[in-house]
Amino acid sequence: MKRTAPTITNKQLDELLAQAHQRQWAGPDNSPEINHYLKGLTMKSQPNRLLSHSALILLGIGAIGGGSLAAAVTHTIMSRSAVLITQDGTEYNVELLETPDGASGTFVTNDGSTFDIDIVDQEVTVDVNSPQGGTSTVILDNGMTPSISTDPGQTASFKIDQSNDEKPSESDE
Amino acid sequence: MTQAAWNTTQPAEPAKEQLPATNCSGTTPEAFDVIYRQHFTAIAGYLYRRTGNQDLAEDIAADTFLAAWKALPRYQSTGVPIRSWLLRIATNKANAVARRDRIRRRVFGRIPVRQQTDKADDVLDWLYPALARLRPQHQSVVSLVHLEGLSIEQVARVLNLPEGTVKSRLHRARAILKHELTCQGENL
Repeated sequence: MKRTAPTITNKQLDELLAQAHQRQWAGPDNSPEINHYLKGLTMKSQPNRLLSHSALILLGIGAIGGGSLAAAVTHTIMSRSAVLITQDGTEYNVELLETPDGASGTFVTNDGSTFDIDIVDQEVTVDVNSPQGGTSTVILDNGMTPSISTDPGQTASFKIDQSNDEKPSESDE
Repeated sequence: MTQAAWNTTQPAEPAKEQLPATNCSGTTPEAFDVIYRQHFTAIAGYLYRRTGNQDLAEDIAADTFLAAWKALPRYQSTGVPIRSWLLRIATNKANAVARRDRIRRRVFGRIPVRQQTDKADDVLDWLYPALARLRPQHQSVVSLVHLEGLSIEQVARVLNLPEGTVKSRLHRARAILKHELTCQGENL
């Protein structure tokens, strides 16, 4: 004999729906997919600002903390890899390595152009050490500001020389 | 980064915002980024309550904002509050997913609806399969009215339908939902 369940009432239905209404979003407050997409659009919207036309890069890491610059750099170097994204959307792998003074390094673009970099304070809008990733700003000598962004799990690299007194070895300008 | 000016005092149903300066594609990515960060959680929450599945909600929310970016130049002429406009896009995206699920069930038989695995909740595990068996247009009104708490007027604005149509769809959807829940009870 077939069992027949009692028909659900309007009140029971409303109670069920009310329970579903109580469910709160516990997921992330942003989408990595959208973040990446918008980042690319932002870079593409400024196509005249190409890294390849600059000679000197200043890497800002001011948001890392209030301690000494060297300590902040060391922390960054030890804990993060990154991707440098220029405003034309080109991405460069970068790896932060420890350096005695933590103040300079060399950045090599895909076309082989080499640029010196300096680390300067108070030039960053987002902490690149954030466990969730973040964005730092690279200030070029001509005023361009491509960004360095890190996402959890990224394997990018940014190589810093052991010397901080090198001048740009070449420029494509 | 240059942040475009945008109304950051986000009410539930704001008046139509003034879009910031646009580039040749209609709107700057920076301006859209502000919209996206203001509304992502609300839209993802709506999709979560509608689908009962966090991963699915996250995917549809991402699709929603990608579609919104592409459609944003057209938004300026719609005269709809931004949240309603985003809810409309999210609803359309969720409807498309629901439609695919229904077709799959029709083709492959009465396979289980999309698994709800977020948390063990017998009551909601009972509701969501029944909800998923409704036609997408019925899922929409039930979700917006009962799960989002919108008024008939607000739902009509989101779906761009007359209020009478929303009321009749809601009445019909509730009847079918009760029937589906009852059938599920019989099959337990």
